[in-house]
Amino acid sequence: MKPAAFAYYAPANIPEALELLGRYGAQARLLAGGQSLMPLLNLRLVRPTVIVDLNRVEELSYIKTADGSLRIGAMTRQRTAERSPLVLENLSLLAETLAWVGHIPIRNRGTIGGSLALAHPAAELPALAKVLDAQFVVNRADGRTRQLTPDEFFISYCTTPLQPDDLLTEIRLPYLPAHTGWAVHEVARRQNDLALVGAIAVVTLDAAGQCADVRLALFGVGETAVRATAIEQRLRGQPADRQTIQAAMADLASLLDPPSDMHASATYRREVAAVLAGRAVMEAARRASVAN
Amino acid sequence: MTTETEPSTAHFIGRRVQRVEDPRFLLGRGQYIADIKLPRMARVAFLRSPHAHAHITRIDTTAAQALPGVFGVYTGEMLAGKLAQPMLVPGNPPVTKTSGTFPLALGKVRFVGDPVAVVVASSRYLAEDALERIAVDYELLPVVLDAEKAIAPDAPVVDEEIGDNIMAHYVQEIGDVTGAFATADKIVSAVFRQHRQTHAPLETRGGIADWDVARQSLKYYSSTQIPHGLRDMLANLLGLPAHRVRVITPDVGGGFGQKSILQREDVVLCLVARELGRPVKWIEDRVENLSSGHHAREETCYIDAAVTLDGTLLGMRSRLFTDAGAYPAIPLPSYIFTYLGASYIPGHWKIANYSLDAYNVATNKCPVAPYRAPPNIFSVVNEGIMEVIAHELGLDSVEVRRRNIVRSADQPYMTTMGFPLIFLSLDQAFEKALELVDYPQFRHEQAQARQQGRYLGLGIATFIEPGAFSNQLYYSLGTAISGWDSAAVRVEPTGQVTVMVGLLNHGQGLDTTLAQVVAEELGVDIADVTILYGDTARDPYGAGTQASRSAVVGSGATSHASRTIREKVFRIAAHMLEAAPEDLELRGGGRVGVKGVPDREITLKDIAHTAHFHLGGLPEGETPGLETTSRYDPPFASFSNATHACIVEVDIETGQVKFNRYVVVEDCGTMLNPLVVDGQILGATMQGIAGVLYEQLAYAEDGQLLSKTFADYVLPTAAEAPSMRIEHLVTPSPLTPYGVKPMGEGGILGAVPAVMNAIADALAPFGVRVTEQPFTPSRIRDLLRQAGC
Repeated sequence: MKPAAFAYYAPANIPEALELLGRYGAQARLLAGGQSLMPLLNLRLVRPTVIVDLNRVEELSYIKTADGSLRIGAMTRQRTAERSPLVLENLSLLAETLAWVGHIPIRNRGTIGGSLALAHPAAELPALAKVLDAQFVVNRADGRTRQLTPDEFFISYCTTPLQPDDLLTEIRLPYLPAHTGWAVHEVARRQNDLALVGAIAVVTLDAAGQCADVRLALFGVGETAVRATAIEQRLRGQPADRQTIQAAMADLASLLDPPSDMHASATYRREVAAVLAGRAVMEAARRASVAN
Repeated sequence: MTTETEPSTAHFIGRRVQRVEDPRFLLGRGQYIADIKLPRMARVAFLRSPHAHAHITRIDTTAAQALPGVFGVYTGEMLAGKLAQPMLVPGNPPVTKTSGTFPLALGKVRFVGDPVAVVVASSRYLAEDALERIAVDYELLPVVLDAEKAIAPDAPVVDEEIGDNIMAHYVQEIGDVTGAFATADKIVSAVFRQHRQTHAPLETRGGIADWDVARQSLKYYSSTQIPHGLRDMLANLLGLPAHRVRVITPDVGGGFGQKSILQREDVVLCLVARELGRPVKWIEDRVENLSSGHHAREETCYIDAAVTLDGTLLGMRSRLFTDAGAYPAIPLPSYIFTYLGASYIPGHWKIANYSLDAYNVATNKCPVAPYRAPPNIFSVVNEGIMEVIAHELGLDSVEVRRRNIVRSADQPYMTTMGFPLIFLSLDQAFEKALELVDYPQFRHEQAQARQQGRYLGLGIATFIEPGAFSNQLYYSLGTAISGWDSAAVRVEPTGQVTVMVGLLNHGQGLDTTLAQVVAEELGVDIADVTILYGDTARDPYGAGTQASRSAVVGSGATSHASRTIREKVFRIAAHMLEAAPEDLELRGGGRVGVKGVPDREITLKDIAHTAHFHLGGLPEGETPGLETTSRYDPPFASFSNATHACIVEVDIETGQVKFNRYVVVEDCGTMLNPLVVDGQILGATMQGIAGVLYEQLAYAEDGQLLSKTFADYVLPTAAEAPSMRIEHLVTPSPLTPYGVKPMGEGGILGAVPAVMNAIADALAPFGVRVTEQPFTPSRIRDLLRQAGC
């Protein structure tokens, strides 16, 4: 388990990083936290001839608030975001989600941008990005910048539209309105493992205690995280009680196409997705009713 | 007599002494194979078969050899002629068959991971680059992956020399099984399946072979549990005299039995070092260890129990299949444990009529090595069947166990296994465990929980743990394992004590427990005793550490040697103090004095100094120095016992299992160090829980191993561990030193069936059979879904 030989570059800023990407393109891989890339390199499952190490690009690491949303630099460490006062005060759902992502030592190195750019279907952050309608800011070597929605960003299994000369620089997470509660439910083989299946739910209640808005994303259920828009529709305007929620989940399993592997069958993932979605929505509604 | 642990007058034996070896491990200052660097040392990488079964039609290593930095590339053909003897495991046809292996695959490959070629290069990175340049053509053969299917006459044959895949077939009947089944009120049948697992030691396998051409001698540094045994095997296979082969074992980061055998790679390294004339080092990576580093546990057992309506066992019949993998393990082929597993099934139950029909079968999967409690299928079956019997007869499973368990009052109880149950506390441990989980209260809580739609379950498992086997037992198995062991105890001129043993500490706390024995017998402090092991040039002969032998044989040998030294110390002290030896006492801290006369004393340092440098000060006829070697052969086998009881909650919607309580009541006789005993119990229990709920080696239909990294071979962490309460009973053995009994593997014997039975009890309302491991969330949901839930 030793990697094949590669050339190593450690740019000091974004223009240098983009210049290297422009030069080496498809031969290069970006090294962020390394928590996914290093095993792939060691197992020789990927064999880039060039590694561009982003860990010295300090200008990619920040958490700011602007226009009712959180702006997070792509190289921000997961653990930093998890413990950031700005995050805890304005969007603590992010901190709660991050607590499910790997173990603390992994979160010490892993980055927000790295996890999103990997786009693993069983990962929590892509599902969170979908639930929050996040925006992805991408810089290109030729100087152009563009913004992508979650649907544009998460195409398929570990596949995003990022080209060899693209650099994900910032993620924007809009804040949630008042009277909103949330919950993250996940089943994994061990604490802090990659999820078998999971759900993130956000519920906003109106003055009468009905669901003004429901957002629900599932992970571990297909090629990408899935935003269960049909279920959300059913629940809007409805009371947030157990029966109504269970009824709304009735055909959720049939909307999903999860994989089978040695850890869980597709049937298991479908069934448990519906169970976790129901539990997450129930808990989100309960927390919304005590939130102010 | 069984007692709860009581205070003793011993200074060190029985004390919870903190382990003296821990500082170096906790500070990261252990020295392992990977840390050893020798001048001109080269690194090794193995090319391993990507196919489960195929003829090798061509190997071309020219491109690999041409890579700068590569010192040599070798194949099975190149090394085959260099062995002095074939690598064989002797059989005893027709019951067991002789079978063999090769350093590198010869002619064909038999499992994914079978080593085909080896590259020796200046770095491991370069060696792996060179592997990619070796061209191998394979002609695929049909694959056989299931032991039951592999015994069919038309199954693909793994070793053509043998003709079929049946490595061993045992058939035995004791008592009147037909009669028992004819008179039974009911026959209860079940199938128990245990899946493939592996030892997964923290330190993978490795070695460094150093051939000294001037001395025509071999030094082999090995991460092994059996230094002397390995030395003997290497000498035989390489055609070298044993006095010119030396095995040196640095710290070993775990073995669990995977390192209690000869590795094929050991032989390759030694052959290649001799060819190349430079030291060659191999430390395997985790992918290699998980795919090729020996597996374990894959067994299926069909069991029929003849019972009366009140749950009394009249007789049992078992049919067992052990999946042995593609090659035998030397010197402990898995068929030994097939027989032990099948014959131990009657276990701790009163039963006189039993028949077994047990197969050990070759398949195109990784070979199998003994893994902590190798015959553990016996406790899975004999405790699992009680749960099934209770369910089928509508009885309480605790009552069924009470009806059949061998009580102290029944001892000595002659078993079908061929030995009597004696000096065990089976019923006391069982009742104590039930008391600790408050059994009646649990049933009440369970009923209430069910009404709330929550499913709690209690699982119980009792077992007898065998270990510390004698020379006679190993000889009768046909394996060259000594069984006895040695200790050389030497008091240095300055009064400290050096002890060399034939054991091999790799996590058992022997640096501490054996020092406790010597300190006790010689009246010195533990800090004044050093225990050494792992160098065949220095240490007296032994069988290493395996089969839970070290406390029994280690305390036997060290105490005997220490007492011999003490007698000499008293003779010399008596002479120097002008008293009689009988009037002397040990006073601790190395002091020896005259009883009742506080100021008449002398130190071990003074005595040692005299014995080395002033022989005129010794009594007439006394020899110089203070050193002796003792050897101890244990009784045929010794047994400890324990009962595990655990309470779980099963989330029937997600299949997840949570532990509420875990209790162990354990009796291993006298404990040298209860801290070490508890550590062994905790570790083995966790390893059992790991097997029954988490770890799984899965093969695809073409024989590819799916679980090749720790991402997929799931080892539980501390976060998954239940908190465990351990209580000890003490029934000393009258046959061993201090009354010590073997322990260390029992946690697995208890945990696997206890957890399985707890899940069965939790899911009892659904009428599901909980007998096929592992019990992952997905598989528990499968059981419930089939039952309509």
